Amino acid sequence: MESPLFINYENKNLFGVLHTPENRPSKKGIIFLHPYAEEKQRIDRIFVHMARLLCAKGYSAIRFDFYGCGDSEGNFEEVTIDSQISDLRNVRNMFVREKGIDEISLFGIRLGANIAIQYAGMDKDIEKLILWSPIINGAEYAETLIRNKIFSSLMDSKIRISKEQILSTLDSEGCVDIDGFYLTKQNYEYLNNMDAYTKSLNSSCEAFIGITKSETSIITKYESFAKKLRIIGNKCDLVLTDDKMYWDQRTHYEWYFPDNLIKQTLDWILHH
Amino acid sequence: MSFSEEAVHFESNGKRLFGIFHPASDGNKKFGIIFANSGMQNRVGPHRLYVTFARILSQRGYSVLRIDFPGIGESEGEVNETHFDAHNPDDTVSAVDFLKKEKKIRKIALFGLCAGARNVIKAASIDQRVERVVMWSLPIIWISPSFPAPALKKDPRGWMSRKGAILTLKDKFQKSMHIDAWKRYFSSGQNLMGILITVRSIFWNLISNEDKWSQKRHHVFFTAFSAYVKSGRPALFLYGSKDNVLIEEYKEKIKEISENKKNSACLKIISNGNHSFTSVDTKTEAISETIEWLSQWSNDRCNA
Repeated sequence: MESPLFINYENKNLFGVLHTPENRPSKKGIIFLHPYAEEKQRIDRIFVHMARLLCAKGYSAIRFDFYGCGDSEGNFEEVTIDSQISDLRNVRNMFVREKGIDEISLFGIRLGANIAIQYAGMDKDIEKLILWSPIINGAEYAETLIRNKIFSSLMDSKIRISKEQILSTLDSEGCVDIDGFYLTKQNYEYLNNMDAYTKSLNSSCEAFIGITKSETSIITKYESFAKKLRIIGNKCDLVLTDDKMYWDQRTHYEWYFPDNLIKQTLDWILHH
Repeated sequence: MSFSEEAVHFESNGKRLFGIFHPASDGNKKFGIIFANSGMQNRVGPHRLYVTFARILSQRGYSVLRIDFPGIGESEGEVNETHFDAHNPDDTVSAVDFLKKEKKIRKIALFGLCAGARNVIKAASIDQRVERVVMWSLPIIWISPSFPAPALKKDPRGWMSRKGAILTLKDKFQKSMHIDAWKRYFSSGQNLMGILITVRSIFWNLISNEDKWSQKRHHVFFTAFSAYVKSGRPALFLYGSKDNVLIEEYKEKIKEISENKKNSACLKIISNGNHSFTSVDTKTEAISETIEWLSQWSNDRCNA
């Protein structure tokens, strides 16, 4: 059964969809954490698909939009890492209360995976982390956003703007429009200083890291990340699948689903 | 200000479809606008455009229903085709039924971007209850160069006219000069096959002598377009100035079907706007222009 709802807390309304198994109520629940900006749109139906598959296997699941994202209340420029952590905490509490969940897992894609790691460091009840292509280097991710802005300006307006000009606007105005979403100075600084891998680890978690062949060039970074998790006592599986970059605009147009990654993830969840 | 948006379901062709309903903030039930998905994008729209626009309209006294077509977002069903006539206009008509019967909205308009615009004009041509149609970036023939040409197995030309092929070639050439474009392309898991398909489509369009207005693959859309414009019901066609091929084809088409007679179609062009009005400035201007156009409708409030 799927129940769309608006979750209200502290005068915020977050849109979410609760998936409840029909015949096999389970105490196991999975919270889905979406990625940043337009990447969220592109993986939307993959999340729906995954939640339905897990629900059919007896898991309860909740998908929700962070404040300022998707159908939730608020504007994107109001989103901060703190607001996202707070959203997650409140959704988690509601989920546990409503569904009687006693084993909670977090499933995040891209920046959603990083939020999962960070949150798991604060909530010892999180048992499993399912991480699809977490952002390994926040500064590089921020750099990509800036490059996108430069590229879009050149393509749309034939105006060549420099990184320095963009950073100057970010400094003076507090935010800059990148492909229709305001990147705030606060979030830019967060990305540049993101160190979710060392300071937020939770040694009681089991983790699955799923990446695609499009990330082969940075696999050593993922391997070293997985190693860090293992060193502090986590069980961690790193899986590389033969899938395309499913959060990209082109693959979205093709209505592409990373079937290998989906299958491997489901197998891992069901056998751990 | 209280939050009043509501998740709703309605039936269409045996499927349970999903939507978000925004009631007019002043509580009136006179004017309702249905937002149809822009291609494969769910009800949130590209860069959250549909959410922003719906919330502004709600504050201006219009109710809005943002829907998901079958297989998209939260709706039941599967997506079997990904071209811009893939969604059935009957589903939009079912949304009209829902607004009329369940929400008691009296007057209905439709809104769509790109493929959504194709869908809403087809729906309006078959449902006379629709009083107005707002179409942003309506593709007449041409597709965006970044959009993979559909139905290539059936027709290697894809959805282009000869002119569209020339412009696509220019656009691709321009992009190929930038290393970031190549990085983006290959880092997303694409390969040379994608380039070959596009080149093949351009080639077949360049050598084709087909009269573009007789293209069979556009027949249903052209019929609906003509029927709606000739019905005399108002229509807003809004484009970004960067969508020059679409604007040109629109002008040619509207001239052909209206035979220089007066019609109720209004064309607005947003300076520096691209196909989906990505920048916040162009999005804001497009919304503002649309609200101004809609005000003619709501000025009838006293008579509504």
